[in-house]
Amino acid sequence: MIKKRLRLYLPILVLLFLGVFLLRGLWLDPKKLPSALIGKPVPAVVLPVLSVEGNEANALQVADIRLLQRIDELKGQPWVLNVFASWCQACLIEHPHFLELAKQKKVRLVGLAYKDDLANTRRWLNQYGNPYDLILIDQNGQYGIELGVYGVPETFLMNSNNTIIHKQVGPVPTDYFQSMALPAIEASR
Amino acid sequence: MIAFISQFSLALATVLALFGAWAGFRAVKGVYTNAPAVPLLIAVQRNVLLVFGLVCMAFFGLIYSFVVSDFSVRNVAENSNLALPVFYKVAASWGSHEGSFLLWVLMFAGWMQAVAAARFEVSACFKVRVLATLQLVLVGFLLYLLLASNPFEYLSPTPVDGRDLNPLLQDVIMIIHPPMLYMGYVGFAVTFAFAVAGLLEGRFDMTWARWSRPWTNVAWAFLTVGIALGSWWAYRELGWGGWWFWDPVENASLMPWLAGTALIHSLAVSEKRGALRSWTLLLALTTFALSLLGTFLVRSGVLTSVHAFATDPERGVFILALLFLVVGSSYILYAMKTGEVGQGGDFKATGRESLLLSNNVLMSAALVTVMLGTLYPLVVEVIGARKMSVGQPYFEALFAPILLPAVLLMALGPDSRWRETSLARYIKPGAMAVGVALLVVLGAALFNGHFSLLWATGVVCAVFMAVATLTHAAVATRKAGAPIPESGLLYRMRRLSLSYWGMVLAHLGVAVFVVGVSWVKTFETETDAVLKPGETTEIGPWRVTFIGVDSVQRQNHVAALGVFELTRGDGTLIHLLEPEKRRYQSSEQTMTEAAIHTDLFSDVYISLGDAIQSSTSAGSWGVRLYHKPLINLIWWGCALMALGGLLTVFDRRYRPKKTGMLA
Repeated sequence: MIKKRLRLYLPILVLLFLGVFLLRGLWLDPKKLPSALIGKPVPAVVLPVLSVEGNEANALQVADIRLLQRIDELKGQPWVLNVFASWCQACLIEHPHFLELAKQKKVRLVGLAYKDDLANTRRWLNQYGNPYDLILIDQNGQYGIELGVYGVPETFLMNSNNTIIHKQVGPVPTDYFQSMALPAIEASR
Repeated sequence: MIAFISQFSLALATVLALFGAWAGFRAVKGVYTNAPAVPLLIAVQRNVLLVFGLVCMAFFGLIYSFVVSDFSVRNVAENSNLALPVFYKVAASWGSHEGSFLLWVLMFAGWMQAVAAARFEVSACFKVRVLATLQLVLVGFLLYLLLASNPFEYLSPTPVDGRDLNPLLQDVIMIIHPPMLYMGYVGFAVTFAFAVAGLLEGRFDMTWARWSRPWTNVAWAFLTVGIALGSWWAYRELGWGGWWFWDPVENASLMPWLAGTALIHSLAVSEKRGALRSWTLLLALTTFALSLLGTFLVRSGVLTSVHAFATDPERGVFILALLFLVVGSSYILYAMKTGEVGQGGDFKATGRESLLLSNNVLMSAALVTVMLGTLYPLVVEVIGARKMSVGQPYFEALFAPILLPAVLLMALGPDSRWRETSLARYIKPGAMAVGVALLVVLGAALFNGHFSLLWATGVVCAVFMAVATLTHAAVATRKAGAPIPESGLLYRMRRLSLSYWGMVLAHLGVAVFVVGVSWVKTFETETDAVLKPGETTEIGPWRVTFIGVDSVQRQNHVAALGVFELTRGDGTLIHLLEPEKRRYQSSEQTMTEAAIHTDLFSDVYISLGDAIQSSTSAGSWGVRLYHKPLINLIWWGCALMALGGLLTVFDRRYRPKKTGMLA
């Protein structure tokens, strides 16, 4: 009889057990997730390019489908894809590091303007400086889905074969190139 | 002003609900009979009506704030703007975290009011306990709204214009999906309250089970529709061609569905035979617990998901605490009181009870599977091991072996008898149905020229079950008219109960669903092509010819309109498909509008990619094509299931009798 009664307390014990994990889980950062894409080729698509300077930049308010870039054609040297947006506060934290990296010209920097208003992107780049060699546009987040982006900023590093070799979720640290990018590039050789 | 009044009415509703719960429980303390509780019931009913009215006021206040674009309300400023069409402004009311919780509370109050107003034959003291329990749970969620997630928070300075409703949510299906889902989640609260009231009274006779059933069935039907709509939306709008991703949020809604399915079947045993009562009670409590867990998982951001909303540990702790209080106290009550519940009549392994019990075992197994897959990554992470995620292969490998036996057992269900059934009753109709199923699969395999084990197993199980169910329905209909040989078909069908027809429909829905899933999983094809105007590609049985791209100027967007010609066989069947790529001028968003041609439940799905402008392939466009044979059976199956669930409620025995015990 006692045994039978104890069995009836099983549901509440299971609940307590689960609860401990759910409670602890609240303070974990779900963003610290390794990319399932590491070691895989970067999804090959064709993306529109953002014109930042010249007449076109002023005339064109929408992504220009005449200026396109095949991701495939970026092969040949290691390159960094930084997912950013003008509405993203955390992007401002890492922005100086990219400006610095651009000055040193150690690796090709490509920006992906993610779910952003193009006029705002241009204004943002004018205000804070443009570290990017090339800026691609992903207005509806379609490419972001293929890359597994779920927060901005995110930074992907590709080797010369267009294989993703590193991913950083959230702002990159000051020594991103030295401590993360360079070892990954060395290791993938 | 309106926002202030709305917030005030929410606060008032909280106080009233708290009072109603306290006074209700206090007043029926020690009362276990009908007569002394009747005046109490009337008072509690009035209180419930007041609470419901106040919550309605708050909800309409929020809608009003959105419609008039009152940007002094933070919620409005963050999720709406002046340019948004009115239709979407209304929908934006539940587009945010706060608003959707208010919708949750509104649904809850609505169900509570329905219980208060419904006429059913339980004692007045029981009904008071049910309503008091519901009000107590509602207080928790009202407090959450007021303290941690206020939809009417004041924003100063007031911005000139607001942000925008997430463009993904600007879709008609997305507007009805959350209310349907919430109706289901919250509906299980009624069964939960019935169980708690039963535990408090220490009484679960067959009347208890009988009156729990319609509420459970309706909640389950809504949940089915809600889940199916979400899946349908993902299929049509996200453009990935998939319909179920085993995303934690999808799993969160699947868990209460599985528990609810088990509950529906164990309630049948409890009602008809008085057996499995303790288990039924536990399921009733657990189904609502899982609805709360679902709410928690989606809203706290504890799991990573494409649905990820704002992650805020404080809110998460609040919902978790609520979940604990509500579920924990009910489980303790269960542990203390369920010893008083008898186990009811015994039965043999061949009886209908055994079949329904095996449904419960299989549903529970499926539930544990989903739960493990969903929570395991979290547990691993908390323990401090690495990050990981459990994906589609895990769920698919485990789900089919659990669900297919369930489908097989469903075939035997209608032929079974309570307590004990002679095996001969199963064998004769069963053998025929198996024969038909094998013939169908053989024919389909020859027709398709393709065969796979999973597909064959799925289709055989489904057809077997459908044939067995239909045969039983046909025989039962014939017998029902036996006393009056000249009676018409409709008369004979009406002699059988609506509960029976509901069961038949829901089970057929499962068969249709399983056929759809087996077919799509086995025969779907997908290609990416780069096409110049005039070029042709093939997908499934179709030939697709790219005619060209037109630019069309519409009211608020420019669309690149691709024109594709669809032909089959010798080219006699011709359809035009026009997928679009839209550029919205106001928001500068690009949206892909896929074009879908449905032909006898199968879809051809074309989505227009980008124009390719390199010199070698000038004028070409990237195109993604899918062929999804019989995919529409998935949604039709769900619709049949939900319809079946709803039908049972209109059964004769649930209609109010003239000499009913009480209002």
